[in-house]
Amino acid sequence: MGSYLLKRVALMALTVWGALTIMFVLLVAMPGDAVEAKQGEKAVASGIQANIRRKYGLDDPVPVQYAKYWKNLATGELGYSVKDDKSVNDMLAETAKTSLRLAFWGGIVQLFGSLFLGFLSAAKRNSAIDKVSTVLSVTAQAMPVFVTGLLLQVVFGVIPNNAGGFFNQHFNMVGFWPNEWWLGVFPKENWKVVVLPAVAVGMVQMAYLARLLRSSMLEVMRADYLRTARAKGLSMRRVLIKHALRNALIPWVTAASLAVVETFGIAVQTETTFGLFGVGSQIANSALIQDTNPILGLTSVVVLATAVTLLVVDLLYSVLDPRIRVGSKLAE
Amino acid sequence: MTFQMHENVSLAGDDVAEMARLTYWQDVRKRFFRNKIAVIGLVMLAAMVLVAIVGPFLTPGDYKSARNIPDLPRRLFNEAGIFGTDQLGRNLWHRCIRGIGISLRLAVSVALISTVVGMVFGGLAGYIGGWVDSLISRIIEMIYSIPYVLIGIAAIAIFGSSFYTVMFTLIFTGWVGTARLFRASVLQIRSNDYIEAARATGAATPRILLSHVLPNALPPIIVSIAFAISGAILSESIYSFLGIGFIEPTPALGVMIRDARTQFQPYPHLLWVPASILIWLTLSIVFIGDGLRDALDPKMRGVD
Repeated sequence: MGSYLLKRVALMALTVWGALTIMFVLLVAMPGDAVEAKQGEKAVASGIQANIRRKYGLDDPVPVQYAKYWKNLATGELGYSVKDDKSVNDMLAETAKTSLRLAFWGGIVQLFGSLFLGFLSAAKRNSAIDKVSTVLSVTAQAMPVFVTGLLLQVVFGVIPNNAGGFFNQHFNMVGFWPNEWWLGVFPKENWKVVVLPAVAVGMVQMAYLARLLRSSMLEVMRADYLRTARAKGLSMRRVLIKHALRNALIPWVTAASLAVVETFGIAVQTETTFGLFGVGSQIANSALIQDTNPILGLTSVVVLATAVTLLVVDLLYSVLDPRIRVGSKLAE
Repeated sequence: MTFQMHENVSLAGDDVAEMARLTYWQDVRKRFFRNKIAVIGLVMLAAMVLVAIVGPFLTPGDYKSARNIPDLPRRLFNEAGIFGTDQLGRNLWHRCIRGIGISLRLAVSVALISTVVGMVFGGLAGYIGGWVDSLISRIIEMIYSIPYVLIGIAAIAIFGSSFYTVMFTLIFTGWVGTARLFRASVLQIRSNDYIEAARATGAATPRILLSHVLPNALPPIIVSIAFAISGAILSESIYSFLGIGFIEPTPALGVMIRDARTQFQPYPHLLWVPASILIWLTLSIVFIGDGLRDALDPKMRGVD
C-alpha cells in the first residue's frame, strides 16, 4: 500500500505541474496584458504603464515570472490583481464559499437523485419512473446547462410569480443568495434560492449516473448468484439492496468521482445563469482582461483541489477493491 | 438506452438461417433501422442538414448587419418571417439557418479530427505501452485538468475569434476522451489470443493493428463519434455563451442565446427559438448515438 500511495502522489504531482505549466505558457503566449486592458477604461501615460508593470512584475523575463509563480504557490500568497489591487487570497476566500456551497448542494442532488432514480428504475424496469428517468437522461444530455438553468427559472420562478396567490407564497424561488449559513452549508434564510442552482448543477450528472447505476444493476441481476439468493428464500427487496445494489455501486462510485470533477465546469455556467459569483465566474472575468495573478492563482487552486479529490477517491477505491492496487493495467 | 429496447431488438421472431447469412455490419444496419427512436433521430437530423444546405440559397441577403432594416414588431410571425426579427431587427429565421450550418460544420469536423487524433495517440499508448503509454497518459490527464474556460480565452486572445479558433479549441479539449477510450479497448484487445496467434504467424505490427486491432476497437469509436458531434454542438454554445467562442455578428446558436438573455423578459422567443433548434440538433444525434450503441453491441441487448 505504501509504495502504491507514493506512486499515486508522484503521478498526481507530475500531472499538476504539467497542467499548471501549460496554463502559464498559454497566459504568457497571449498578446497584451492587464495594463493594456486597463487602457480601455481610461488613457494611462506610458511611464505610468511601465510603473504598473514593474509593480506587478509584468515586465520580468518569463523564467523569473515562472519562478515567482511557483514561489507564490508555495508560500500561499497568490499576489494581487492588476485591475483593482485586490489580494487574490481575498478573492478566493470570497468566491470559494459560493462555489463550494453550490458544489455541495449540486453534489447532494447528483448522488441522492441518481441513487434513487437508478435503483428504482432498475428494480421496476419499464415502469413510469424508469421512463421518466430515461427521458430525463436523454434531455439532460442534449441540453446545455445554461438553458436548463433558464428553463428551471422560468418554470419554477417566473411563471409561479406571475400566477401569484398560493404559488407566489410557496414557490417563490427568486431572491437573494443567503448571507448566513449553519455549518457553512445550510442556509439560515432564503433556502429556496439555493434549490434551483443546485438542481441545475446536479441534473446532468444525476441523469447520467442514474442510467449507469440502472444498467449495471440490471447486469448484476442476471448473475447466477442472484438467482441463488432468491432460491434460498431471500426476499426480493433484500436481494435488490444487499446484492444487486451493492455490486452495481462499484462502477457508479468511479463515475461519480469523475462527475465531481466535471461539476466545476458546469458550475461556471450555472453561476452565470443564476447571477452567482463563484470561483469560475471570477476566473472568467479576470481572464477576459488578462489579469494574470488572479487567473493563475485561482485556476491553480482549482486544478490542485481537483487532483487531490481524484487522488483521495482513487485511494479509497483501492482500499475497497484490492484488485486495483495489485495493478492491472486496465484499471489505471 | 432507448425507450423500450426489449421490443425493438427482440430476436425472437428472427429466422436463424437468415441470421447466419448476414455479416456483422448488415446485422448492425438491420438492428439500427428497427430501432424507432434511432430512425426518428435520423429523420430529425436529415431535416436539419437539408435546412442548413438549401436554406442559405432560399434566403439570400444580409443576415449580419443591422442596417437598412425596417422596424418591425419583435415577435414571432411578423412580416420578416416565421421567427420574426431579433433585438437589432435582423431576420431571426435567416440567422438560425446559418446557425444550424455553423453548428453542424463545426461539430462534424471537430468530432472527426479529434477522433482521428485520439485514436492515433490512444492506440500508440495502448499498443506500445511502456514509457510511451506513461507519457501520453500524463499529457491526457494534464489537458483534462485545465479548466476549459482558460483554454478558450487563451485561444481567442492569441488567434482571434474565428471558426477555426473555436474548432481547434474544441479539438484540443476533445481528443483526450477518445484517446482514453481507444487506449482502454486496444489494451483489452491486445491481450486476446488471436493477436498472439497473428504475431506467431509472422504478421507485421502495422498489419496486426489494421486488420485485427482496428476492426475490433471500431464499434465503441463509432458510438463515440456520434456523442462527440452532439458534445461539440453543446460546447460551441457554452463557449459562445461565456463569450469565449463565436462573437457577434456571427449567427452561431450560442451567440444568439447569449444575446437573447438580456432581452429575455420582453422577447422570450429570441431565446427559445435558437435554444430549441440547438436541443433539436443535439437530441437527434443523441438518439442516433444510442441507436448505434445498441445496434453495434448485441451484448448490451436487454441490459439497457
